[in-house]
Amino acid sequence: MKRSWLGLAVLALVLATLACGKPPQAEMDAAKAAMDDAQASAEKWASSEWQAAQSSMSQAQAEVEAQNQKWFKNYDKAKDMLAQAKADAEKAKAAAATNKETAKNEATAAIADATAAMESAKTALASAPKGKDTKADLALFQQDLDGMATTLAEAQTAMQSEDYTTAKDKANSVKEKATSISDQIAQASAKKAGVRK
Amino acid sequence: MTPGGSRLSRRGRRALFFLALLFLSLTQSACATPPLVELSRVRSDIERAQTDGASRYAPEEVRQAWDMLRAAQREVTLQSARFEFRRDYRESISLLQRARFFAVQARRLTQIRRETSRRDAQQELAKLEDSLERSREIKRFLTPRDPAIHRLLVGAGIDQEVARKNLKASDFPRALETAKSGNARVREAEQRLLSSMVRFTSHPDLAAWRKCVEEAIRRSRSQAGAAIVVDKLRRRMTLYRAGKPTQTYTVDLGLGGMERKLRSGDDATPEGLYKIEEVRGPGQTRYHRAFLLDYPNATDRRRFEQARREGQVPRGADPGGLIEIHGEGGRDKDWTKGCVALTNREMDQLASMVRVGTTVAIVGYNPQDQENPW
Repeated sequence: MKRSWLGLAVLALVLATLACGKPPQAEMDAAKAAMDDAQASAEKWASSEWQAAQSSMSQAQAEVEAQNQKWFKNYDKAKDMLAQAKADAEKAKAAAATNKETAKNEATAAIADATAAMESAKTALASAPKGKDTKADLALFQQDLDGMATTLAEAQTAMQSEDYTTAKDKANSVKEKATSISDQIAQASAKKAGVRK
Repeated sequence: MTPGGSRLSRRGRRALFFLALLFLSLTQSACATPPLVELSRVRSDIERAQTDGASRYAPEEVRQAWDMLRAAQREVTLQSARFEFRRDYRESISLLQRARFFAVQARRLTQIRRETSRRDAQQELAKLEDSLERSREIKRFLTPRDPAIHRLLVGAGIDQEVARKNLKASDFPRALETAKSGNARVREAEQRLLSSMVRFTSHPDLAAWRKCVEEAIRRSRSQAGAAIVVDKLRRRMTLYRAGKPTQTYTVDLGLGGMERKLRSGDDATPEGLYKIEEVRGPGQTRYHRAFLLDYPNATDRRRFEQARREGQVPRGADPGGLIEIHGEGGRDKDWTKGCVALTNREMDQLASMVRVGTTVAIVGYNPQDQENPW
């Protein structure tokens, strides 16, 4: 009688051990969902973080497979590794969001600066000293500003398609040209004022 | 020696042999250590390739290198979980070798492709700089006020600036892409300019221009005096004496460039056969010296009246006047309100050779001049 109780206890222990040894499906699903969620943005905006997340996930999956092949399974390490993979995926996603936001803010600021520089140039052009000698230059400046307005519109289109680098490059170039026009007009005005004295 | 003793000895040898085999396999398994150093080395190789720019220039090789490395890591984890005597890392090592191959390949391709990209970007940018400069020059001569062409050329100019910056920052693919965009704009502008140029070979006024030039030369010959021919397309003035060309000058025209004057305020230079009505010296004009022409003549007035009847001129407009050949020129751009401008020195030279009544033919294009206008 005593022996049969002992046998039952051992059997219960074995069964309990086997029950504890189930693959951590919930953790695997959660890690995979985090990876899927991060992929699109992280691949483009945080490639090194994305690589790290992929490696973590791969290692965790390998650990799960390794435990699956064992008689006495222990998924504790796999669970930790899956948690790490999930955290890495979330980190990659957050880094992507930050990097994208930074690029977007820089492009937005560049467009705002370019728009302001264009407005200044337009104002300067409107109040520029007009005469036969300056008419050609002023007409050319006006045409340049018209052309730059087209480029600025292209920069805004690039913003909408999330091509922030192109948007920023174009806007910066427009700003430089518009500032140059304002400077030239200011110099011409100063020269003219000097002559009047 | 008994027969049984001999049999035992054979059994003993056999047992010894199996023991040796077991020992060998166990020691071999014990020696099969995971290739962790190699794993870390290959990882560094891939990361170095990425630092060199492989993610951009050889993305497929980088991807394959990472895939192989992950497969190797997975294999190492799997083998490490096995009983020690059953571990076998040969597959891991083979995967690592392939990963290293792709990493090395990625670095090599990156060097080649980066160099090709740099060269392509430089060539495309050089082409843009050249074609943009040429188109700007042609535009300046032909259609200085065409807004569509100007917009295209301003856009191309900005592309040129951006491509230069990208090239400086070693962002060759972007530099190439931007320079290509600039060249596409220049090509479109060139198409428009070409259609303007074609106008000159089949221009309705071509016969009239030829007649004007011939008449000016004939008068110069018959009167043994001076005559002036202004070729607007070439921005060139030729002085004839006794029917022979003796001197040429580069001129600045009205803001309208090649446009033909029709009315006051259009800032265009007229076309036709004129005479100098008045010669003004220093102090009599703000442009050093000036030869006032008899614009508008009868032809100009007829043309203006017809345009007015057709509603092509604003109400209250007139054909304009005060068209001169004057000084303060030599600015290498069109800036006058329709006059023809030379440098003051050239005006001083001309002043001794012309007089009131000297014939001045202003034409869009002188078909007798064989020299290429560009």
